[in-house]
Amino acid sequence: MTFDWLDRLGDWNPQLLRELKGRLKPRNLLITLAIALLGQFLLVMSFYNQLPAEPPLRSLVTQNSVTSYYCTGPQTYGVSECLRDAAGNFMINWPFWWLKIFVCLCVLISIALPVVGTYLLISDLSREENRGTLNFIRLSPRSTQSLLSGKLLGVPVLLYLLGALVLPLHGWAGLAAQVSPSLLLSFYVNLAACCLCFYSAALLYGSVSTGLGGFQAWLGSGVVLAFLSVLAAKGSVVDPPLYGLGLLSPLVMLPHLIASTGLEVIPNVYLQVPTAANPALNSVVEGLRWFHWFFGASAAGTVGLTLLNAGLWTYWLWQALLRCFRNPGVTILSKTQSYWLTAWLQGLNLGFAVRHWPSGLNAQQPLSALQGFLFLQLLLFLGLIAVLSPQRQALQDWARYRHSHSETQVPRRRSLLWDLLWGEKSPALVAIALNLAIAAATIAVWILAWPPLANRAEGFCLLLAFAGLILIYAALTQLLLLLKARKRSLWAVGGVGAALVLPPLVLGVLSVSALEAPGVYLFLAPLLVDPAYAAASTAGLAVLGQWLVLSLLSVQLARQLRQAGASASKPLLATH
Amino acid sequence: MTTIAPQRELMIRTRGLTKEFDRHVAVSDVDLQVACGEVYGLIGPNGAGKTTLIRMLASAEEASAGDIFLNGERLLTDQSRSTLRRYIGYLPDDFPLYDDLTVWDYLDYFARLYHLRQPRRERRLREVLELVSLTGKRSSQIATLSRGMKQRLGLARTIIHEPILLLLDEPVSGLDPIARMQFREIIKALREAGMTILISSHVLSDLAELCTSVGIMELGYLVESTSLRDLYRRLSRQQIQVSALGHLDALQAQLRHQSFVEEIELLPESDSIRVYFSGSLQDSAALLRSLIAAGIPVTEFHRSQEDLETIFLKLGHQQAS
Repeated sequence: MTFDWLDRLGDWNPQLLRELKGRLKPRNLLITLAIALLGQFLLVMSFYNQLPAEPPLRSLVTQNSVTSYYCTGPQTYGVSECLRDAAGNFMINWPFWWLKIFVCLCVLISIALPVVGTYLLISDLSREENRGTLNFIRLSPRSTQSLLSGKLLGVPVLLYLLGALVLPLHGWAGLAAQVSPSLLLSFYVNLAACCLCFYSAALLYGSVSTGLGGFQAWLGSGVVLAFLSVLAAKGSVVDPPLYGLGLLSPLVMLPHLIASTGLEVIPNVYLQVPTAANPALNSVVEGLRWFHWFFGASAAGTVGLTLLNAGLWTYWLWQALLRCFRNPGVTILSKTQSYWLTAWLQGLNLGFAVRHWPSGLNAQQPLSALQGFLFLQLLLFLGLIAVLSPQRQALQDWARYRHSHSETQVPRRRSLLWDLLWGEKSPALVAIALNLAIAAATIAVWILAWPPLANRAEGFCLLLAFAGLILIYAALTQLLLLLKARKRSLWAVGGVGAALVLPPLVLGVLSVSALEAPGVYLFLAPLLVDPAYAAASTAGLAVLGQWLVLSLLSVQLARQLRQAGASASKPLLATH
Repeated sequence: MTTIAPQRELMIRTRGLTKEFDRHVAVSDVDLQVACGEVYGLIGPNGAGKTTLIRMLASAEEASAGDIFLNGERLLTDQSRSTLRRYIGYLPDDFPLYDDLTVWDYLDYFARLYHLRQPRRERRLREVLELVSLTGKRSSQIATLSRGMKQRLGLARTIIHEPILLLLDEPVSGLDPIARMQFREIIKALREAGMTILISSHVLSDLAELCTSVGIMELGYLVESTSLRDLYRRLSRQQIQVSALGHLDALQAQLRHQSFVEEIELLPESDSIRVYFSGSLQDSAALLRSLIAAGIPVTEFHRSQEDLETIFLKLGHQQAS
């Protein structure tokens, strides 16, 4: 019976069966079981030790009362006095005690599952790549979806088992703390959706990154750990422009779970549901509004938007996986896909950026909001530059063979512009420009909708300077990827990183403030300056300077591509 | 380029196949044609582009330019055409394996990847294990196998799904003579089964024994592609080694007067003469007759041809470096 089931599983997904066979060995199972049981025992014991204990005899003499977080008497500084029942035992607020265990487990699970799973997946793929076995899997006739879902379900199977072993205590703690069962279920669904998203990202990173040895897995999981830890530390208090990213944390549901218990004893602000009626949270209330939908106030709204957000990220990650897994040499997304992705992200993020301006609005507020929004755009465009810029070999092939056509295709000479906007191996600069145009059009509509008090011209100036800088980064990346060095990708990351960080750092060291040299800031780091400091002529000069640098970089790029596209016999003939 | 057996259907056809690695042309404008059922040997010095060509045929490497047609269908690396993938069995020169699996589990995994269902899968597993002489090792961990066994297991994995085209890159490198002989016998069995095989190797005596056609690559170009028979006819000279009792001067003088004798070479170490002869079988019989009639006490008269290795070395091919 068992073998029949395994056989059918193997026929459905051979990759999954292979991963299970390699991992579900008695030794591994015993270790997993021991970790799960011991970990839960230690956790419960640590909370048990926080319960009030009978004081030593000497204290009783002094008639000091016993206090604890978990007692039911009157509170002093958040700590309750411990009352006794008729039998002389302390009266414990057990739901609260269970709630503390529940919250602790939620945080642990929400961080450990994505981080450890990411590590396992990246390290498995990089091991297979280094050993050379990944090629055989790629060459098999099974679909990419089947192969990668086998990896996704099979590689972290021991982690899933660990999660399943923790689930009873977590569920019990939640129910004992009077958490609503439906919300508890939605937390699990949310957790699964977020894990799927992170694991898909891990598969993509593992498939396309090479040359870092075992470090890839540490780097990937380290980034996820940092990301989730920051979100866990901030809870629902995430800066409004970043809320789209904040939704990727399973902990976004935690305030709603706690609120459903009806317990009003949590002192931490970030664990409370952000509602307009809650004065402590006024600063973030607006951030939880998507256009006119104030989703943050209801659990259903949060669950819905989180699932939608995770689902769409997962969809895009799989689009990239389907492209790159079989052919790691191609760019992670096609140019066409990037335009759709940008349009979607603009829609999502604009929803968080558009807000009801408060009545006492000053002229500076919309501009600060724009800077925050552009910071998110900076992250998006750095990502787009990374996924759209072809490597040196692809660029050389494009430059050299772009006019050659296949025997089965109708010979058709496409224009250079067509190739730059939609072609497979062409440089990314023009495609980045079109993506910028899509983003800028959306942002421009938003700026136009600002209240009359705000200075729209300054907003547009900032947008222009930002666009110029992004194009410079894109051209610089493409040039660095054309280098003859071995670790070109690292050079590109280092080069753009330096262009991003060094100018403000140097200006800071030289004690040149944005007030003193607004033009320089606008030219090098527009997100750190208020355009109001700069006169119109200074701002114009800064933007002109950017376009001059961009032109120089583009001319150099075109020259190098012409060189790469020249026939190999040309230099040979020139020497004779 | 010579077209091989144009009357037969082509299993492999490439047109202008080119691969550049950072301005270094690894494979240049190759038009290769291999007919169905052929065993095609790819020879050439290191760095000539054999491995890159095979990798492109296996769709493990994307071409910079040109097309590949397998069994009449165009091969594309960016599309997962599952039928076309099922045609191909590819054994790279480093044959990576999973050390944590047993021989049976490893083959079972690949059989499932190639959609083999029970009971055919189990039957096929037994067949290939028998063919590569690893039946006794079916429950052994792969990590415990010798290099020769691992190489045979790699071949078993390559043929588990009964591909119609087998691409073998240096399959016998690093094997001892016995393992090489076993491997040769397996290839012969597969040839008898009608598989089209493209094999690259530096062991030219093996290729001479296995192949029906050969291609010679040099600096990325396919400089020769023809049937083995045609290659021998065009480039291999016929030799006759003759020995006689006593001094060889009389024999040498007698040979100089014979027709079809192109060149005479004295072999002092074996006390004999090598004659480069352009006549037919009848002409060589007539030569022997005339030597005996001239009273030469002939003790040895052995007719042979230059082998593939001699032809290859005679062509003076260059290393890529």
